[in-house]
Amino acid sequence: MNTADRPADALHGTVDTATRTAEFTAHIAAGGKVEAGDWMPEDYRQGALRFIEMHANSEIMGALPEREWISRAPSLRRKLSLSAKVQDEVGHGHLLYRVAEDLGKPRPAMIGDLLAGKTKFHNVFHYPTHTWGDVAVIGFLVDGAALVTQKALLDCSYAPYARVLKRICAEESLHQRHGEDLVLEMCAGTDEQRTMFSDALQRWWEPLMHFFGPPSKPQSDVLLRYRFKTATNEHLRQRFFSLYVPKLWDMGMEIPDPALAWDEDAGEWRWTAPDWEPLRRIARGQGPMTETRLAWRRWVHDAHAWVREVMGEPEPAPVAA
Amino acid sequence: MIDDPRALLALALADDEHVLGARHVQWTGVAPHLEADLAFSSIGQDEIGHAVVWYSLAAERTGTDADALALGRPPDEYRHAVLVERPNGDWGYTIARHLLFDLAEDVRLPALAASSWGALGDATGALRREERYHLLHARAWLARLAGGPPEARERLRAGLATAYPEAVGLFEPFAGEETLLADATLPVPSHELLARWAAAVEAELAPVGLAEIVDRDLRPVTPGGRQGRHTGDFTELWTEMTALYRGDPAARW
Amino acid sequence: MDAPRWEVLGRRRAGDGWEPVGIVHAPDTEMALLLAKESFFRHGEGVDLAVARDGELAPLGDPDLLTFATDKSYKLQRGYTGLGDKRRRATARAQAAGAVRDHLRPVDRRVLNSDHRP
Repeated sequence: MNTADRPADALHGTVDTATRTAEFTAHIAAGGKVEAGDWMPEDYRQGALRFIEMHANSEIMGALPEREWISRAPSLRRKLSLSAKVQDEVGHGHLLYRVAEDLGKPRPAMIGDLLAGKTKFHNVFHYPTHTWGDVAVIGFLVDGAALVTQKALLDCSYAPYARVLKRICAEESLHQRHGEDLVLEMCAGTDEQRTMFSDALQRWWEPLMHFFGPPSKPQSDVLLRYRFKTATNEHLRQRFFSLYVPKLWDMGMEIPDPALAWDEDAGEWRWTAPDWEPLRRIARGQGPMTETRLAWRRWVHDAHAWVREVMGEPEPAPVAA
Repeated sequence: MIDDPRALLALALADDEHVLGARHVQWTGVAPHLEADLAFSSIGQDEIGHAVVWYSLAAERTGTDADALALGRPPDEYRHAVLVERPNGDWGYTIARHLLFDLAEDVRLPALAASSWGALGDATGALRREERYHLLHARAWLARLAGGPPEARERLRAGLATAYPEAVGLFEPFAGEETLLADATLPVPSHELLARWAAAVEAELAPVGLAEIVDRDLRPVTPGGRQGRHTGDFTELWTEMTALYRGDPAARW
Repeated sequence: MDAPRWEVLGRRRAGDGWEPVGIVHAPDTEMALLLAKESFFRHGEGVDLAVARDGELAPLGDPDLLTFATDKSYKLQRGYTGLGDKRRRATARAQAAGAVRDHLRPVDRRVLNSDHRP
């Protein structure tokens, strides 16, 4: 059903909106999808735009910690595969900004807002990388966490997003296999290599728990209500545990949560909720690497406005305070 | 220290590709335009892929492996032209260097196809197919920047003016070139390839009014790359590129 | 003023029709074709491509440019086979180090395969 077929009726605008919203909600509840040109309630549009914009932002900012290791890769093949991986992340940003544009915000404005610190990106990309062990953790576990989330979004009610996610998940699966390959080589390697990975795992576990967010509140979560998201944060975290914790154990790695355990009777993992304050700080733009990375990225971006001019892209108009 | 002329030739070719490829892929994630970022990263990955081909040939003659050659030698045993070790600078310099290098490949690879070292000659075919695309890409950017607003054109011009005197160093004679010419491993001497390249650069730049940067002098402003003489820029890059590998050359990563 | 947008079309296999694959931003046809190649065909997704704008279609004209001439397995699925053997190697190494964690884990395949829908 295409709710955009209904004629606009200015005199009865409010009533019409309420009716259309009810029809829209019923359509969604019945499993219907939404396309870019369809009528949608304003909270759906804004929610979808913010979510997809944050995803696009995260791909762009996620490239920064990883690209630092391209030049330091310990073999030619890893240099190539890491380059290809970061390239794919830029590519995902490209695809996602395109989808977000159709919800009403031009690409230059989205990139401008990101670099000005006005919009968000995922917590995991606010942290530093110290060793090749971090590269392995990011490739295996951070990408693994992203893949769990993205696969659940393949059911998204907003069809254009679900479509690009198919391609993104396919590429992300390749990254995740590459990540596992990196981890396995380290864990099968020298004592130094095993320690390097283990140290990174200790550092990254809390950010990984933060990544899935605090327990969802389905009643107040607009995106769950509209079936934009179809899984709660807790379900996604549980799936992540099931997929990755046994693998880490098999490599002889201990996880820095003494309470982490599979409860067979309850059919779920027990775990220790992290301190949520670091995540709140990141939401305020105060992560360990937030300002450093944004400032550097902004500087490179601003220095090359002339290239974007050549490519026909205008700079964003100044945003009113 | 490696002294086999054929290995040294393959190493020089490999080092050019490796170091330039490393510089190109440094733009990945931070290039000025999203789609341009994707395109340029592929160019850089291709160059590193070409390095793998040349290092593998050299490795057959030295009894080691490609990674040991790519990451395990001291800085003064690298044989690339100084041009490729320079940092990326701005997009104007990057495109200028990309164009000059790929025009050099377009001159060198066909000449090497007839090498008496059969494996080397055979390898040029696949590389030429990819270099064809690289030239298309470089030419598209040349047209865009040369025909663009004044700032774009000036940055391109400045990039070409900086890169050209060092690009000449791509055709410094290889170590052992006399021997390589005598047995036709090198079918054409470097100075002849240099003349062909300079003519090709002029032909490329004249239509867009930038032939002025071509200097008749044809002596490199920073000679010695083919003999292992490099600048502080390479010391810095080498340290970054090789530290993890050299920490344990026997480790599997 | 919006940046010029081009629709990208691809041919998956020889004999297929054109299929829309996405959008690129580029100032002209030549640039649009080059950028489209890297945006949508860098993993070997098709044998030919074209860009379209204002009803006009411009094909790449040289499908050879889409084929890989040197080893690109590092960006393809086939570059990452053999993980099973590597897992066994890593476990053996962990056992040698006395580090294997034999904790209780889910064995029910429904748990491992479920999408945890609410």
